[in-house]
Amino acid sequence: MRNKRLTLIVLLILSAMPIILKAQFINGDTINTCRIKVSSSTHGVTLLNNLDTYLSGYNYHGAGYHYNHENFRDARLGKHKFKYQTIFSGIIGATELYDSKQYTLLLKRMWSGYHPFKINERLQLLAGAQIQLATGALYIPTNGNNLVSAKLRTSLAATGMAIYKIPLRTKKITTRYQIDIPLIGVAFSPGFGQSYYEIFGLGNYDNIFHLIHTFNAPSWRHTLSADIPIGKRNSTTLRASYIADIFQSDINELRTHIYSHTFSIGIVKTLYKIKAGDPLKKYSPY
Amino acid sequence: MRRKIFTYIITLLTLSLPCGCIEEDQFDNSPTGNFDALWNLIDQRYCFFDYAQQQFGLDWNSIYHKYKAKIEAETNDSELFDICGEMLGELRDGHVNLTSVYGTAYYWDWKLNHPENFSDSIQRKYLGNKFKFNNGIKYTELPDSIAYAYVGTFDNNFGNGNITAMMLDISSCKALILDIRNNGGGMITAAETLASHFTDEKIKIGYIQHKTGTAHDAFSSPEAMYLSPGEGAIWKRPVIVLTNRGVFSAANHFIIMMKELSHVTIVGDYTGGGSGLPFNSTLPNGWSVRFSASPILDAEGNHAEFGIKPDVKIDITSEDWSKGVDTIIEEAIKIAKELTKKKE
Repeated sequence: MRNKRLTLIVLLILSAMPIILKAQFINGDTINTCRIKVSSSTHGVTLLNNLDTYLSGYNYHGAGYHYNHENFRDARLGKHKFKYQTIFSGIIGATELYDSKQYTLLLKRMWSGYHPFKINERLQLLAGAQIQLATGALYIPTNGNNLVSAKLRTSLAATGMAIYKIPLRTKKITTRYQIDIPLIGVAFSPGFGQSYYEIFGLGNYDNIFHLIHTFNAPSWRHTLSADIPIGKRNSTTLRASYIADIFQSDINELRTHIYSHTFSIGIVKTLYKIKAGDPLKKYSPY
Repeated sequence: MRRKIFTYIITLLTLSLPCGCIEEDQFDNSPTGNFDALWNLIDQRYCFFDYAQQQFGLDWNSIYHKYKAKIEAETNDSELFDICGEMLGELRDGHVNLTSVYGTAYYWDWKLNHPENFSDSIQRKYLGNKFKFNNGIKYTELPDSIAYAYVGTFDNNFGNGNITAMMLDISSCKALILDIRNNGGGMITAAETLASHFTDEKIKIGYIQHKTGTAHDAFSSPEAMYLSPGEGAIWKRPVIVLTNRGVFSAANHFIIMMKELSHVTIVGDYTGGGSGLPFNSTLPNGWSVRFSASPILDAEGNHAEFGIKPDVKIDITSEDWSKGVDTIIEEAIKIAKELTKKKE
């Protein structure tokens, strides 16, 4: 009972935090730098190693497509300057164990706030907190009443980043390393031998949401990226990145892991948000 | 500031300490490894060990030693498939199968050791050539205003409209003979949709449990299952449901529901059973295993895994069989006439 109440409280806090954070950033958005955001979209190939004992006791290996979209900008919280980051990540893939096929869909949304520590002109360290919302499914079409293992979790994570700028002739390459470690949250999991028919067909919802922490759901995400300006006047910035996303849980004696290693490439854009009342707002190409 | 950064890095490292890999014990892809993987999978996830022990003295541990002795390093895949299939047959459960390129290993005794009690060539004489066919349901009107409907599978779900249309079509009939013989099951929701058109109130029809862990007796408390009235027509006149040993799985569940209705009479042979909701898993070599994972109990809390007794037990006699007469349909017609006469 106490566990259920704690799970509910954590769920409520986590669901409200992105809204609170965003509202505060907007209210404090008084300087121009807060209106400049670095936005990137990368597309990549991901190598998958999946285990989900609800579906099968063995590891499935394969590959898939990984899309990652990130926004990064300055923000203010009262008098304090922060960095605000949002990430959307989507993986779709196919894995197999000999003749047995499994399909993967994993979607993640992350909202992060960082406190920056400028070490020198080249190196900057950032430390902060993050809210994660993840959903998806593993699917084995030949299974009967357990053909899908749905994933839904929200968690509060610790996050850290190191940014190092490397001057190279006229270019400045920005390299980054980021680590995200979910600490506490709430996740959906059926019972050990519980069917989705029993949960959704008969409405036996008891005991399907569980408190997760670093012991029963140790997960983390490492991102290593390099932003390389290209073109005659460095007009375009290319991003090459490696993302290791380790998604795990051990709930109700059901063990899950989705290990994805992604190599991706994409474009980085710097955007400026035009506020209401700005004369530029009146211009429209239409 | 350096202290702040140092503190944060130490905190991150401390938080990441419990971040180990979550893995499952993996058996190797060898004859012994695959055999052990299969035995362990069933040992941890099969749901009828205690009931099978009560019914026919199943001892899963001794079965391990009996069949393990047949496995050698040189055992080829085809031989391994046969040995594993034979071992699964010891569970006497039609829902337990092994599937590979060598086919599917089934336990058939639940059906084949019993009278057939159904012939589609004899049934054709009752259906005639002018029967109607609506989403898998064949139906016609027999003499004396008795309707006859045959539902041979629950593989496809019925729409409420299909069932309502059929019921409106036979609305002039005083009784319905609903024949589900040789219906090997399919979708449990299809069985529920059909059954829902025979009740005008929400009734308790049974209980469901699921395993909560790997121990043989680790089960959730039974949760009641209910049948609610379907949308559209509801048939409240006498219904005679025909069964044989070929009635299995979702069709067995249909009988669990129908036997709770006062205007329904079950006629024929015992059903084949198969009351456990099956799950699938795989072996290290990719072979697929199906097994009963979640038991469904009847409204009295009894297992229906090995079949349900009909209200009127009757087999097709060899004499009738040779004459092309379906003893079970004839008995159902007789019961229908008696019931409609009583109502009048």
